[in-house]
Amino acid sequence: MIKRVYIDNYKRLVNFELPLQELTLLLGPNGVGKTSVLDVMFALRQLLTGTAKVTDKTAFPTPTLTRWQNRNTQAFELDVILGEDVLRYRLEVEHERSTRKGRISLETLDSQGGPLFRFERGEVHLYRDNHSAGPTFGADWSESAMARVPPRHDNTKLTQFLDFMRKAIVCGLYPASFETESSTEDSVLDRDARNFAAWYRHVLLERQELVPEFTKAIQDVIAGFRGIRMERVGLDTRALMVMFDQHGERYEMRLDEISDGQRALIALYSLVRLAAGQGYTLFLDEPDNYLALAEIQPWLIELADACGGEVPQAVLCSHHPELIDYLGSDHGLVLRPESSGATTVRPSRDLAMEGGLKLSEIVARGWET
Amino acid sequence: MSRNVQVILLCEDRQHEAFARRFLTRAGRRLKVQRIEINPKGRGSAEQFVRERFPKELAYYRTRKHRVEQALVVLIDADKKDLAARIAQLDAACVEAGHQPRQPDERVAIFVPARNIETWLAYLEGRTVKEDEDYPRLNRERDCQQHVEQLYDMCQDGTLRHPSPPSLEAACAEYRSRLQA
Repeated sequence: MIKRVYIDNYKRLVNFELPLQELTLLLGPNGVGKTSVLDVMFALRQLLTGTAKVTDKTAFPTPTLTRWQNRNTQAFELDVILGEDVLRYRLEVEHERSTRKGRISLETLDSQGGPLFRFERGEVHLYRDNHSAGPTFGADWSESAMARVPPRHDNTKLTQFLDFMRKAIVCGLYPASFETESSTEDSVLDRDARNFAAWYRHVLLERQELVPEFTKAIQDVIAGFRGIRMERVGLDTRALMVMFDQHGERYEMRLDEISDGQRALIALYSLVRLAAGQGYTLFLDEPDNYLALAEIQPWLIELADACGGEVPQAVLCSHHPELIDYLGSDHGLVLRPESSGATTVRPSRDLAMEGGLKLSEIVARGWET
Repeated sequence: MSRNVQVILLCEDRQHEAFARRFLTRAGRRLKVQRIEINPKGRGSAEQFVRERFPKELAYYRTRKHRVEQALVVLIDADKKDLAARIAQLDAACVEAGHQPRQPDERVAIFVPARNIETWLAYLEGRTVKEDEDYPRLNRERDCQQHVEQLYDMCQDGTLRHPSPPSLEAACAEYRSRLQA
């Protein structure tokens, strides 16, 4: 799991430290940087899977530099616990504001005992698990050199870290964008989960045995839901069909024919029930969107139970009172803007006070700025 | 359409929640926790929260008693009182709020660990316990899963290991009469 995120000179996050638990709820006013944290995680995932170059729109384009800072270098760090090891990944991105060009000036991975990888000024230094120096070679500054390192018997820690990052799911569900048909099996869920059907095909292949329990969980929350099947509509193309059994009739609807809320429920329960045990770390932006009030807490309970076990870690951003009251006192972190413009973090339980108010009621009375 | 029994769980803290929820899940019987009402941290006494909330939840239970398959499950520590005194307090809170106390035919189960939930956890770990002593908390609330398994197995067999805490004996009887029936 990720125990610490450090972000500097990215949007409004300057010298920003974020400690994380197995389950963390990020709170705070709009514009304080909650979604920016998720954007950074998504960008790092894109870089480290080799699917984006450093200044691509989905990574760290120059406009993401903090506007009130004159510095041209962004820095990001992740402290990740993997087994017995604590690994620290550090990335520095150097921008040229006038040309909007950028490059990776430093990319490192260390464990307690020493270096595992170093990419500096275009030169890669590989190290073995025991930190002894390996080969050195030149690489393209515009992309993560670590993403190109193939797995070997003596770089298992680095490989484990890359695998961990590949399994970061960062999304804010936008059910209206969900595509019903897919011709591929996607191991990565898009930022808005538009490729949900393709991702569902992938997890279905991986964990077929989880489908009955998943189906049962959805049956508890969607009236008449019977199951999901992938219908062949082309040579390789399948359409996600939702089966119902209601009013004595059995019928099917395409994913794009059911309601946004039902699509969100299916996606949210998939993330907890079908992604279970596969090492997925979840970063979810406002998962409560589209859900009815009575649907939120049951899903949160499922998620909270899974965290630290079947789902190694989850980080949620939300303004919703249901999330604030259920998770806030034990798992909440409030991001708040300081007069300097920077954003700081403190546990939301510090907001709790005597007087009979719930945490959400305290939050509703305005942030202390 | 789902035919689950919608359970509203009213309890003092996360350990109560974790224990009760896991037990209900283990017991199955269509008992589905729909809503948890728990004392917010830093908001005064937890047992007071349960006492003050109980009449409202009971009144709501009654308003839809004939329309919804539902149950109200309450966990409140005995602390320095005993089971009868805690139940009497809850009854009195109802009367004070203008409602009838809990009735025998209502699917409203009240569990009163004495001295508190940690006493039950210590017993389920295999220790001999006294209901007027304190026992340590678990490191993580979720670690009570193994205790729940123990309790469920003993409940299934119909007997608790002797010597058992009277409050847990009462809780098993409460479960059988109010939820299992």
